[in-house]
Amino acid sequence: MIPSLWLNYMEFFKNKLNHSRLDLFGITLFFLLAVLPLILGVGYAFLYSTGLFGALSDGFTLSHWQEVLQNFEVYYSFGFSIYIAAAAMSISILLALTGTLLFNKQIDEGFFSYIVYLPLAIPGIVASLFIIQLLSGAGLLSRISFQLGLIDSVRSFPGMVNDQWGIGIITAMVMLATPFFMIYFQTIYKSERLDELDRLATTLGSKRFITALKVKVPIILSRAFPTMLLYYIFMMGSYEIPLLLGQQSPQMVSVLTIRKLRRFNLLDIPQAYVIAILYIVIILSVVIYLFKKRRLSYDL
Amino acid sequence: MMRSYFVILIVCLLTVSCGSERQKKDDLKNLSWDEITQGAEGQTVNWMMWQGSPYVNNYINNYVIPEVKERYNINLEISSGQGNQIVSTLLTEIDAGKEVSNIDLAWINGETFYQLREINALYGPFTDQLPNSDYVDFDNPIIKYDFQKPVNGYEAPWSLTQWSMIYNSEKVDNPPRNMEELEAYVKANPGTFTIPNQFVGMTFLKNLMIEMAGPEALSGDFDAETYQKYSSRLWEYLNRIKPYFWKDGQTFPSTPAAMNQLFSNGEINFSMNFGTRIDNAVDDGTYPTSARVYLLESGTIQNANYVGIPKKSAHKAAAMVVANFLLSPEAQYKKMQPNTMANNTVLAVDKLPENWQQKFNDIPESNYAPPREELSARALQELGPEYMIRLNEDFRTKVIQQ
Amino acid sequence: MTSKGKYVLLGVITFLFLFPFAYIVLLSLAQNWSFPAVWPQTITLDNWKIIFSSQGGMTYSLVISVVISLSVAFFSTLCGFITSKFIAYSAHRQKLMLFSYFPFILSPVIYAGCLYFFFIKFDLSGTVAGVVLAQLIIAYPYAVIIFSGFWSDKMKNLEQLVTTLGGNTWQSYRKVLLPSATGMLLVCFFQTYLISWFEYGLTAIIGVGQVQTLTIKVFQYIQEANIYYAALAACLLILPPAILLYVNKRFVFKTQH
Repeated sequence: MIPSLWLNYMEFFKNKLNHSRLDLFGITLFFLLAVLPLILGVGYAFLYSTGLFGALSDGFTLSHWQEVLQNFEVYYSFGFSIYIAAAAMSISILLALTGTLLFNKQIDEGFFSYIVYLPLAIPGIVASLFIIQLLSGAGLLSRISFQLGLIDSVRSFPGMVNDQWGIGIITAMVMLATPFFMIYFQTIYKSERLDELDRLATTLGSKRFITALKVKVPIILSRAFPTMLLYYIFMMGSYEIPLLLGQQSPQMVSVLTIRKLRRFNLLDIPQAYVIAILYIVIILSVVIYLFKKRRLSYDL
Repeated sequence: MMRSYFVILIVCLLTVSCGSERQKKDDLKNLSWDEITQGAEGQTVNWMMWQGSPYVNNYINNYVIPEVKERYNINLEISSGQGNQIVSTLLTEIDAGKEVSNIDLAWINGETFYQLREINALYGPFTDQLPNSDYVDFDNPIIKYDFQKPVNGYEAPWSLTQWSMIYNSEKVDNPPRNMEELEAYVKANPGTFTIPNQFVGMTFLKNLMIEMAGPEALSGDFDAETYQKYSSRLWEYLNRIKPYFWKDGQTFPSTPAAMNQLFSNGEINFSMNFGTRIDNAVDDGTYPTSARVYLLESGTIQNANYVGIPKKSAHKAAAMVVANFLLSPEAQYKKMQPNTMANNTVLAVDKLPENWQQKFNDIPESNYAPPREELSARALQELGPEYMIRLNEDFRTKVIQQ
Repeated sequence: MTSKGKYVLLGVITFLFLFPFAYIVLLSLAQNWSFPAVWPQTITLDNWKIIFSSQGGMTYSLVISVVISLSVAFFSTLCGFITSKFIAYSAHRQKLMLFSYFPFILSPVIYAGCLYFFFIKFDLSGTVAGVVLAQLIIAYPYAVIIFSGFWSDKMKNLEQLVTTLGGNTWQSYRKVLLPSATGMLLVCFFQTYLISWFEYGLTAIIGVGQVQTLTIKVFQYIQEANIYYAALAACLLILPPAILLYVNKRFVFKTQH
């Protein structure tokens, strides 16, 4: 029975919708690999969080939702994630804009154009290792300060890793994001022909700096907005970096969710799914908003 | 060209993923030990354990794995997972209705054992089938009860450790041995003390609770009122001295390894450990040569850890053989050597054959710790598993988040 | 900004970009580097030698990481290419693309946490195939997004031209579509390879600690506070992509745009 159903499916697809077998393969794959896991994942999380599923559950209950929503920890975590990603993003964008505007030729071709790609070869885990080695109490910066006589013992070095402002986390994220955006802004610079615009503006009497600020920056930011927003969301959901560089409380969203998932108190597990759903809903809303408001450019 | 690449990749994937044979040999209880050893031949055992200690990893990787391969032709594989991960993995397997478990052996004790029994995930009783269990004194309360819950043969003992404090004798003359002295110390020397936010640190808190309440008040089944009474005093105490901790008590190291690093580079003057022999750590530079082990006045907790076999494991015979090997005099003796786990044996030395008794008794005292008698005189029994679970949570909400 | 000042700044930036690599390599060569030394007390190749011989070592992690990442890159590029065509020309383009964006930006580790149950149910947890599949769920939609810019009216016309001239689907792919997409295919292959190569959280959850890729090894060594071995694993993790990036940029991007 199954083979004949499959044949019917193929026939329908081929005749009615005028597509080749390859397209059929493509769309089935898409359903299986992109749509289905989403439905299954969110569905499972929802069922578990409401007690409709799970070896230790007693049936439908909203208690887990209540516990999470009444607990400050979740709000702190979301707030902290928003703050960290915003801080890292702003610093990276600022640095990247400056870099692109100053060095757009060098990023385009030449020795530096290879150098700028290098940090893209660094994953979150290695960035975290590096930042720990650099910024922690007994790290490189601390040792240099000690040698220079700026501090007199290990303990005097200010805490920049596992600290409450997330300095370590932000530094690691900036380290990874800045080169990416420098390259990305440069491709926009090129495709929007911004140096021609520059020449035009200069002939009209505008100073280089003013042109940069009033003309180039808005164009770049406007074109890059969808990617920047997506990268921001990506930063918010970061796991490895806050896992190694963050403190116990507040934690960023992913770290919190996984912690609750692997908790000793097995009754905490449904709470992890509640947090997961909250996060998914927020992301989904943002992405849908993005689609409704403007056409997403596909040059990620 | 692409097609052949495609095929090669598929073949690669399949060969790499086809590791496990899905056999079902369940009725081991009626088999003789020889039959079990035979059935274990050629099997692969997946042992999930905490891999946070390089000494444990060294012992396992460079001694246990080759030995069981040579003696019994068993392929022992290690996967990394601490207690709560083992529990959540087995729980999800139950949820998914899985017939065969991924895990064949698990390094467990305390609250992990308790929760696995609650969800009925362990196979047993099996320890009386292990020949080497003849050398174990199962009536010894430290082995008979795991965090106050009876073991009943559902996990095989592996090692015995006593929690201890370590201090830097160059920087500290008189280490604090009770709560009052600790408070005075941190106020006089701020920023030099902290607690790791995981089981080693939580055991420290348990020691403090026993100091306040006395061992009898907290033994036996968990009583919420008693817990409430002493824990609220504990949180009050901690929040009072927290500002004098390392980093002003704003953050706590999350692993013992991180804490040891702080200790070794002089940021803090104290560390904590499960185990009283730090010789190997001093020898390889993890600890400074001025490190010394000491116990609290009211004693410190001693506990046993075990290995358990999940109910749905497909390689129970091989797992039992491995558990038996771990319990053998050779493996236990090797475990007490420097560079390995260097903790105490679960074997009752007087039950061993003569030559082994001699060997065990000849093991020299540690250079950095008080003599063995003094240590065991101050050994306390573990508290019920609920304490660990509650302390983990409450430390977060009542101390960290304040 | 003066021309000279600009070049000085460029030099500083170059140094900053290169520094992490140099530092990690140096760290991997050290065995003893404690406070307050600014240079390691011992430098030796011993770390590199030891790690390739010890049991459960780096060689396994390296090989398994390469196998997994190659598989993920291959399948996601191939399938992404095929799927993106249908989506690009379809009437429901917007809605379908929404599904594609989602896994890319959702935290992979949270996604893995929600799907873990299904991996256990289908006996895929703790297996290499399971990890590959899980990473595909993240990488494949990303590939679809990358290729979505490729399918334009020009491509459509080319395809129709092939059909008019009597060619079938296979021929149109082989002779027309794939050649023009070569640059993009390589970019996609490379990027999806990196996504898989760098993935930690998802691999840790679905692999249940049994599939020990290089990223997992780095994390384990950090947890053990064995930073020299962690740096060694990190070198293995970042040096190949660094070299590949050079190759990619040098040879691939030249043929594009």
